[in-house]
Amino acid sequence: MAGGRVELTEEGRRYAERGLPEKVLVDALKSGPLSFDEARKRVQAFDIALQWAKKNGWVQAKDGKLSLANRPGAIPEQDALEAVAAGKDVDQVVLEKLAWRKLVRIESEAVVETRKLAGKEVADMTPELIRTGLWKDVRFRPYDVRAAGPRMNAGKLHILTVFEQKVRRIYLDLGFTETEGPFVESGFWNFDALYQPQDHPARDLADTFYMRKPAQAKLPGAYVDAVRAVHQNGGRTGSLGWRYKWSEAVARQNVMRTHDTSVSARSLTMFRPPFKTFCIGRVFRNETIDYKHLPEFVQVDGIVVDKDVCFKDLLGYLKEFFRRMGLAKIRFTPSYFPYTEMSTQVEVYFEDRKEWLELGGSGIFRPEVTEPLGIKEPVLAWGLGFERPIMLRLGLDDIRNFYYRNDLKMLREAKVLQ
Amino acid sequence: MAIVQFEKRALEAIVGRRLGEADYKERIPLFGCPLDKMENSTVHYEVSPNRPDMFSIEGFGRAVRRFVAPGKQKLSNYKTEKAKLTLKVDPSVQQVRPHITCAVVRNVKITDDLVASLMQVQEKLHETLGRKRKKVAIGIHDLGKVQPPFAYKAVAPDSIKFIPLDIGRELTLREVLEQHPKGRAYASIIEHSKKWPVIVDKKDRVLSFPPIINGELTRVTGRTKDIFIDVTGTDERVISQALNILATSFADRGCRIEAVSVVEAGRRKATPDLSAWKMKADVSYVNRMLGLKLDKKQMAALLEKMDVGFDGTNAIIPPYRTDVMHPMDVAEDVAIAYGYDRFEPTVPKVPTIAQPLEKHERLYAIKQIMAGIGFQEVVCLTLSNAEDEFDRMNAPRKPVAETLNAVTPECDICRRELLPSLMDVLANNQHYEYPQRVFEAGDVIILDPAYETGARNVKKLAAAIADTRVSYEDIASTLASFMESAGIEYELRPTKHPSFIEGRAAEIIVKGSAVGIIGEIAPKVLVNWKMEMPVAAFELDIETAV
Repeated sequence: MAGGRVELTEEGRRYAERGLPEKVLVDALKSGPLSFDEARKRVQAFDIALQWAKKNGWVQAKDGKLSLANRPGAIPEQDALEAVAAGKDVDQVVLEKLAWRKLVRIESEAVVETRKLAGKEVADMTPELIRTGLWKDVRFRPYDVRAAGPRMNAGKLHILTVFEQKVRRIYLDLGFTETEGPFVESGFWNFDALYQPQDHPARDLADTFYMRKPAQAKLPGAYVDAVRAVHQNGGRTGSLGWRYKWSEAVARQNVMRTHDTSVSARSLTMFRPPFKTFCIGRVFRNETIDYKHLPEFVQVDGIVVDKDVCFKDLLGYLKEFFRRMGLAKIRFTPSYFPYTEMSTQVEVYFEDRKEWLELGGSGIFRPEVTEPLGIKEPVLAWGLGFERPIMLRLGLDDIRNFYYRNDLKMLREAKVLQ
Repeated sequence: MAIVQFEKRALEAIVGRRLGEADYKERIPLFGCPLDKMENSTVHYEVSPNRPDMFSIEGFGRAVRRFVAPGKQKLSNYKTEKAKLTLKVDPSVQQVRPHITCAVVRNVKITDDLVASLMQVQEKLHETLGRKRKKVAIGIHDLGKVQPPFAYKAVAPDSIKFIPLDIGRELTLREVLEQHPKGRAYASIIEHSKKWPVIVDKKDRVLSFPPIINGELTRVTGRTKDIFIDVTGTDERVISQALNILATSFADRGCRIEAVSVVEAGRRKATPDLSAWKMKADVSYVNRMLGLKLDKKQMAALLEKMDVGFDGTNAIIPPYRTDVMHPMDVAEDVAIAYGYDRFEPTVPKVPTIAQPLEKHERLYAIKQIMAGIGFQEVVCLTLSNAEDEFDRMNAPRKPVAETLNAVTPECDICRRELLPSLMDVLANNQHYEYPQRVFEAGDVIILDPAYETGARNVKKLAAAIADTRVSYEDIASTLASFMESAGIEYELRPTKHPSFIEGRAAEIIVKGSAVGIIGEIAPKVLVNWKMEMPVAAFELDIETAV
């Protein structure tokens, strides 16, 4: 216990003066065996004495009498107790034995130092102050409690994840089923099933990543004929169709999906009405990287399928979603998508910017989309951008800092509580 | 979206009244044309590709006039005068550019406004409906300079010479493709063919070399009185739409439209056909789609604002509309005329039970564990390149999903591992405070012939620590903490991996199979990423491990 301090306890002091109980017992037996009753009368703390004397093999019990079995030479514990009392150094092993018997108290250097603080002003609260009760004898120095501590680089979720969870929560609360689909998608599900003609500008090489490998997808046989018919002549939908020769080879071409609406199209074949599904996922556009554009970003798509839903219900779902996002002021303007009618641009008012901003497209899926996939009911559908509201909230003006550069300073300092 | 630009003065002349700021900024966008920008004397609007009729100021003004006007409006009714001219189609065009349709416009007053409008509508139609002239090319000629009848035929590239617009010298067709800027721009549309299309007059003079360029001979000037329009292309329906858009624009300016007799294989057809046509439009269907309770009269009044007639069962569609193909399109016209701003959103009412994706729930739980251990989440691009994925990692190249046409070369493959992404993040953030503990949990793409597209998403987790001193033990204890919270039993089996220091890398084994790798990143890899801090990392296939 280098630097520490050793003290006798009250019991230890008593034994130092009068002898350890086992020593008293042995001394008593030196003049011959004693009955238990007799021994108990002559030796204080007889049970302790008997326990240790037996353990050391000094005494034995026979016919109700105690007698010496082995006369001890030196008793190191007794010597040590007396040495402590005299302030001398003591063997560590014996000392720990005494401490275990609560005959000595070993104080750590920390406690010794703490005792010196009595009556003084201290900075830190310590376990020693609490344990020794010395906290009653010290004053705690007042701090400048107005000072903010230095910032920590704690573990943290990416703001995109925080936002994604918020959006997921809203859709789940509204009773939607979560779906997902592959990033590498066939032209069939990304375009054809959504009634985008095969020479549509959106399918141009300029906007879409086509795949070199894997170049071709297998087509879902059950839907190919109906999709072909609807493109060529409207099929059974009452539509005129796009009136051109639809090609399976073009539909087979794989792309990096350009929207999550491909997942919505797949959902139409997987659930029976009424149903509501949503998908939050990465989409890809073949664009040059700059502060406004990345080749991939996140969209959230939703569909509601039921026999009597209408345009007003579409607006209702969108309004409710944005209300829960804290964006109460919302308006709808006419727009165009090849796969919806009553196509609607969703615009949300950002109070701090005093601006209406386009956040996504919506509409009712055209019958040319739904009928070939086996859905007779109206399908409300929307696809909303994800990054823009986050960037506006956080005042970020460069999308690259998001998930292209993953600027650690920005991520570490990002406000995630909205 | 195409952006069209109009002089406010010219637009207001067509609309027939002054338009205020509210009209430009609030009212017109409610027709479906967002305002792009407004300057002192001009406005720029986005016109969606389903309304090419609004590329011209006449068409745009026609739509706006009806939409903003409060009262009743007469429906457009276009008349075509009987054909006097003939154009003969030679069978030789079949193999290169099979279709042509024409019109004559009489009584034209050429003004700057008209020329500006013609140039804009031609350019936009070429770009959108015409798919960069592939499907549609338009020629506009001074009819007074040439002598009918005309012929549309394909000829050998060196067999005919003419002076094309804007170059001032006579060229053969082949020379036009080689020397004229338009020739070079659009050569790909016809050069595969042995014979190329021309339109010639009675004296074999070239009016046009579609889809490339017109002849100087028929250049429209201030003195032009009568115009001949040719529209050629690959799709008969679409070239008719383009011609109708042009012809109705001229008609709106008070010009007379005269048909042309197009003779092909002995059959004679008068073009253009400017008659309105019918699309079924049931009031109850429209009401059901929109959630309205309109009667026939109300619906007719609304459609009238869109220049669409209504006879109780059918909508009467004007000849310039190209977008109506289903009764639902009529419903949209009703909705626009009614005003999107007047629809009252309903409270969501379809009762269904929510079902989260188990996979996503788990992914989120995993992210929370990693954040709890003290790691900053990063989110990286799926698209990458072989240098980052393999070369910089000192690893051999492996099969990956590859894109065909990336405009950004650094985005030409899909990543199949997350560690290169984390190295990229650490390399990009060397000017910030250390230690840097980062993780990503997300998608990679692996080739899988069993899957319908031949590639599928796999969810992985990777974590990395960069600091002045970082050891195998640091990352091993991170993995241990993660695995304990995730409830995954695993063992580490020593391995050799070129991205890691030899003797300091292990495979992560779960239920007997390797699901990931852990170790100290090899100095060569750090140097490849221009990093000066040691890094220890692990990567794990979550779908197999969890």
